[in-house]
Amino acid sequence: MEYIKNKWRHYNDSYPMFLEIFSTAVAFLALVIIFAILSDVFFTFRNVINILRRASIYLIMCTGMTFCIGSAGIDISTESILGVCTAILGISIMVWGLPVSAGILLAIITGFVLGLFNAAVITVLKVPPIITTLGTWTAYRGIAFVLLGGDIHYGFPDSFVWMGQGFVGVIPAPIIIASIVVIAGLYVLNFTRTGTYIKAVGGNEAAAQAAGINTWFYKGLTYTIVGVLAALAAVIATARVDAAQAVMGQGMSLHVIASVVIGGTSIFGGRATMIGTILGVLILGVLENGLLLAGFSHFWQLIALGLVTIVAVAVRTVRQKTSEDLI
Amino acid sequence: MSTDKKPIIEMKNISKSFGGVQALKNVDLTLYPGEVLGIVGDNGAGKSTLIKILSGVYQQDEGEIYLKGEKVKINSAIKARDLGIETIYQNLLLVEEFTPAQNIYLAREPVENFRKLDFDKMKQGVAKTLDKIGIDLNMLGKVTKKLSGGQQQAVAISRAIHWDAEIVIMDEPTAALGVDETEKVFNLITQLKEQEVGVIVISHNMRDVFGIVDRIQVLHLGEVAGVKKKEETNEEEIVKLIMGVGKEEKSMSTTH
Repeated sequence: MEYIKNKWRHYNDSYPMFLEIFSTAVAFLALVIIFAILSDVFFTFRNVINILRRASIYLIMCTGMTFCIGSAGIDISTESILGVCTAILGISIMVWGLPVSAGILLAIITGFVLGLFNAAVITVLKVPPIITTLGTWTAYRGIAFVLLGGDIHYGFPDSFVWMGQGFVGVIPAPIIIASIVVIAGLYVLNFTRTGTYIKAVGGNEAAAQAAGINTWFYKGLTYTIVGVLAALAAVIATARVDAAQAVMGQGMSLHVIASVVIGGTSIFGGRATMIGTILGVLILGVLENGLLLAGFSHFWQLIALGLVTIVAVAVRTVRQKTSEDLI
Repeated sequence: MSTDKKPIIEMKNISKSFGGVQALKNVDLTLYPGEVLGIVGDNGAGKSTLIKILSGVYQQDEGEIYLKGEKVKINSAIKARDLGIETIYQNLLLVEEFTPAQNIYLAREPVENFRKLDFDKMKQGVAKTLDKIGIDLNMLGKVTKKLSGGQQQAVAISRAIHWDAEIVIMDEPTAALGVDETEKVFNLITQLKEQEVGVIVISHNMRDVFGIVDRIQVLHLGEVAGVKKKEETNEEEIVKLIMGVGKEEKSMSTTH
């Protein structure tokens, strides 16, 4: 019994999982050290806060995506949900003149409904997630354009703009909001039945069903979480630039998915890690920022982002094949 | 096995058809506590239909099921589990990315305040179960996909033991295992017997059947072709029954 206590602290402790997160953390630190050497500005308080503020929108979206990919799903439409919610914020607050809180509530409800639509198509009609969300990725962006056309609404009330530009002490508001979301995500994923069932559905749907888990509910739940969090990201993104336009969020989905996968959440489901996702977001954030400071253009950043994603997954695959006898 | 024991399960006159195909026709099955019953038969004999009725996956068209003398209706897999009937399928139905403990507690996790999983309770519970049946505790720190076939089978059996199953149904438990691992699984089945659990083993493998079971029930084309005590029969006779040669009268099949 002593042996168990020492060796096995947690019922879901597994050494390989720890090793994965540890090696992702090492990769992240290596990146930080490299850029700290390459650029004098990189490791300043201002730049670190800058990286975190930019990362906060991704952290919120990636929290939802970690649940979704962990359930063996995927949601490509997350950036388009963000676009529609931005349009709703612009119209409700700037055109209709609704109070900020009502506008935000309306945006969150919109995100929920769009996520629920994905969930319904995937769980009821059984259309594969990649096809469903590829379809809604286009369709939702279309809705954003129908709502806003080419209009740009700007000059939001101060209380709204604070969500993207404000500070609590020296910490920017988006970082605080993202931290709350990430901690909640970490708790649900690792410490509750809901998180366990989502991973179980992703790992082996038949086993989850046989154990009595309502698999379609938990699958659908992940898409509604993605929808709601995309809406929250829309609030921060819109407030950050103090402008609502239909193109908002374009190109973010792949960045979100890449961050989650770099973090170690398995695209085949069953294995999902919020700590890994945080590291994944930070790795891409540091990479973008560091390359910029080191004088590489946006085009080089794109190349680096793509290659890092492939290398991260390749390294993990090779390691898993060669570590059969680990401990 | 003493004859004064009361059956833990009695299935009487079970019939089931799918469309026009009669999968089972008036099949009886009796299982006693602490007994291992082997169910054998060719493909399409109705073995898996019969156990799926007992494990709540299918419902019979006709016939009754009695659990310890009381008539029960097993209309879902969860109902079967609640009645103490655990089924271990051939593909085990374990989440490969989960640890053994997570698999044992899947969908039955205890929670404390703030809906937080009660890790301590699960940790102690699993350790106790694995200790009881003498399973290598090293495997607790690994995810299930890193375990050998025999260890995975052990996890599935531990789950049944942990939840105090009174009836354990095993579908081809040794099909994917080597000789050593088969031996270990046989040991676990023996332990189930000692705890007065009734075990049903479905197998194609005669070595399994004669190695571990007490009685053998042969199905042929959806009907009972014979029920034999292990010591009163031999491989040749069982194979003949499986092939439908010299089928017995129904009245014979219900005696044991």
